[in-house]
Amino acid sequence: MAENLVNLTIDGVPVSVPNGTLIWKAAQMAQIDIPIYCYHPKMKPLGACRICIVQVEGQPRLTTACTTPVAEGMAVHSRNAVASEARAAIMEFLLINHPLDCPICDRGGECDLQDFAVAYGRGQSRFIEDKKHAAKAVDIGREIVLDRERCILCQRCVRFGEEYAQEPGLIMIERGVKMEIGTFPDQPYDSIFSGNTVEMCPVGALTSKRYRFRARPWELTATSTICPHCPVGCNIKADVRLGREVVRFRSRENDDVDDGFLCDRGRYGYTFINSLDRLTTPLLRKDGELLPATWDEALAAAAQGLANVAHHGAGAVQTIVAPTLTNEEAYLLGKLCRTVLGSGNITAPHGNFALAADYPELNSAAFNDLDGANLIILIGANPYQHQPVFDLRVKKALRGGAKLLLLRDETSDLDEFAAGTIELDVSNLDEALQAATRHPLAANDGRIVVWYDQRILFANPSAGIAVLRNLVGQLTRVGQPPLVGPLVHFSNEVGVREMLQATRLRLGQGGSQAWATRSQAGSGTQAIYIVGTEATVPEDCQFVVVQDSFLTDTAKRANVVLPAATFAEAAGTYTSTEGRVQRLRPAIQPLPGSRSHLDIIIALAATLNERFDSASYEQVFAEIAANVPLYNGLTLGKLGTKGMRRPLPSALPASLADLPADAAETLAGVARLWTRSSPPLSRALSSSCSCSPALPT
Amino acid sequence: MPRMFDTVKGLGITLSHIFRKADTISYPEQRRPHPPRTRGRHVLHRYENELERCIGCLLCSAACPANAIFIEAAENDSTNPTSPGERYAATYEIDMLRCIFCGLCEQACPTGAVTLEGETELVSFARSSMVYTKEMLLEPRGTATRGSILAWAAPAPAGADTDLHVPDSRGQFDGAWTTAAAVGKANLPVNPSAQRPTGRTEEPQP
Repeated sequence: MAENLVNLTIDGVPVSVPNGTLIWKAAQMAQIDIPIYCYHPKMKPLGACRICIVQVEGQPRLTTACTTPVAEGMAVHSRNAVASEARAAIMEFLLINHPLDCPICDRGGECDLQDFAVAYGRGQSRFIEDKKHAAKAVDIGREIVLDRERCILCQRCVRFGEEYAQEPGLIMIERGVKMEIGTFPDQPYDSIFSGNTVEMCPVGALTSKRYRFRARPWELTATSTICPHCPVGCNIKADVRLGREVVRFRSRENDDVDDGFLCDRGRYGYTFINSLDRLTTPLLRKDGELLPATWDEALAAAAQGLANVAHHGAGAVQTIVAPTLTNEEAYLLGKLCRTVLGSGNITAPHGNFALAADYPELNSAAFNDLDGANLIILIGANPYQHQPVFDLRVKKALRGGAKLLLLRDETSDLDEFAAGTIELDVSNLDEALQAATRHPLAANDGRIVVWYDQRILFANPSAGIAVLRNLVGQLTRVGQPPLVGPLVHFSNEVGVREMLQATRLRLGQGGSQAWATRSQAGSGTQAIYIVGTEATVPEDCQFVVVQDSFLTDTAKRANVVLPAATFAEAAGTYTSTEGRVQRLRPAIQPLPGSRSHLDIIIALAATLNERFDSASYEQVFAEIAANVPLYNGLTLGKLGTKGMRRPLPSALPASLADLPADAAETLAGVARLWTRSSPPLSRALSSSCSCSPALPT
Repeated sequence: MPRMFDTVKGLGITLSHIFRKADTISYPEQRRPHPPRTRGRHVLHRYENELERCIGCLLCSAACPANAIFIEAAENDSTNPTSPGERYAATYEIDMLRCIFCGLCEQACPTGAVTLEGETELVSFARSSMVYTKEMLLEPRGTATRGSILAWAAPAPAGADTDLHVPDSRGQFDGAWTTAAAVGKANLPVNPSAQRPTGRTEEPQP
């Protein structure tokens, strides 16, 4: 190891870094700040802005720290008189045509140009000519506005599209003083990753339409939470203005998950939180009409209605759990059904995938395993649509030398990156997987990573799982099985299913009867308790309780509507599709009149004369850690800010015969309940954000 | 014995005061003029072209130690702008019960839009009516005063450049609408679209 290290000094500080490290990175390691505009740590260096200029002893001219690799014995000076003078001159050049409209610029207050001008600039310009003027507020895409005057031509945005997302949209037009950012003619920049360019723009040249002029940075408080819009679980900072209004999401870099980037669905999926259409009071059906009621009335009515039908049999009360609820909420709902409602009739409209408790070998892959893999096999997956940041991770791995084998039945943006494609027929999974094992690409001894979309198991889960396990066996090379992971579609599908599986196994054994599926229920479903999702309600259903943030079509059919808080107001944990348990933190208080799902479940149980031991999400999580085998030993402290993958059981299941008992039940549930015309996300994005209450006095 | 004369002496002082001119005035019929730097009720100023000076930058609310100013900014309609530049204050409220009349907002304002003026009689029967809205604070159309900002401005030394807001060494402003808006020099003819340079390339309109 020692021979790979290079010794150099930066500002007199001795540093030892691996060979090939850039001077800028070496300085970071030595905790010496060298300013950068054009360089971005996740992308290749360019050396366009020159602000990182340093002096290297023995070299005739100054050099840029972001493009120069270290060399043995190098002596770098980043802030001696020569380097400082040069940097001040560069700063002066950068500011020549910058409009200095900082008071009306969205970046003002968190702008690198402002900060570095103060730190390294001269303070007074000698430029006396008129500034260059260019177009302002140019609409270049669905989410982005470009201000050409503010642009310092660092090209981060252009390179992000071309190099990182590999989805070019922004380009440099013209040369020299006429150079500017633009799009291809008549081609708006509508990439689903376009929001990242706003975040990485070092000045206010690219601004987000949704955030534009909504707030100034110093008014914002950031909450470290996670994105609830897909199962990747990207880490975000939720910026809240004046403690009330969520005004933007930013990436909170977690290299294990998102590599510091977000998709636009996640980045802009917050406007519904501030919607004026949110429910703020419980509703109770009286004489056929939904009328506002107090919480006590509504909870009493809900409890009464559910209790009235509970005696009809174990399946009389059906509970439907959204796959976007937290683990704690799902766990408590399972417990509520088991111990209070006496009904095992609980389901979540999720897809099918092999549960980690039963099939650890089909849940072994982490996102990080993509990097350094030799072969990536995607089965039926379209991550661009369903797990966009996973798509970025795949592209990154491919740039790192991995090969992609696509088993596909529809076109996706990854087609052009695939080294091999195999037509997939979901009804004949075995044939496609056999073809994959025979594919020339599969004949390598390196790391093979397989990700399958949950929909391939939709038609026949047990057979599909068997085929996948067979694939694991056939792709095992040199004793090393391939790493396999499921790609689900909703943020906490994995966690909710694991919680429901666990509550069935654990809590159910004491009080009520064995797990009853709808088909076994004597008198059929008579009451439905729907939490956080939409579902088809049978005509003959007597009593419906809906717990949601909006008056959805399902809620309009309900007898009792309980207004619930959104993810931005809730605390809990999510389990991502790679099995990473991460914490969701509340950015704001629940909208007055609404309560968090967890609080409502606890209150409803209390109304049904059942006092749960756990009254907060921390306590529920402790209960989960004690009761759910996969989560044994986890604590909120261990999860920290970046989460951790829940450990997999080491013992493999005995045989294929012990398929999870709810496989059939799940399938029926999906077929009947998967009626949502669009995922909650589209609702989120379409809701307008116009809520701006005045300052209370 | 001398004490008797003390009483007479004291009464003499009293008598002498009776004939002096009184210090008090009969407020509210009579009022004294306030000094020019009095910090009373705020005024939001306009340019002579009737555009609002305020650009909704929120620097006043950031400077406010009493958290009395609430602003929501919005994007100007470029054909019918409220203020020069791209941004204006859609909501501008000052809670006069919170305000401590320190004048930091006036100092923070880059455009001279908000000043504290001589009006000090701020009373109401209801707390809610003490939140002054933008409509209450704005000076009427057709007026374009600078307010107490002129009274506070220290006289510049002889020969000094008095126009240093625009950061070029000539101290001159080059006519760009947005820069002008940001530094309070947007007293330009009302047709900002004519002042805005357009891009050389045709922009896609998605």
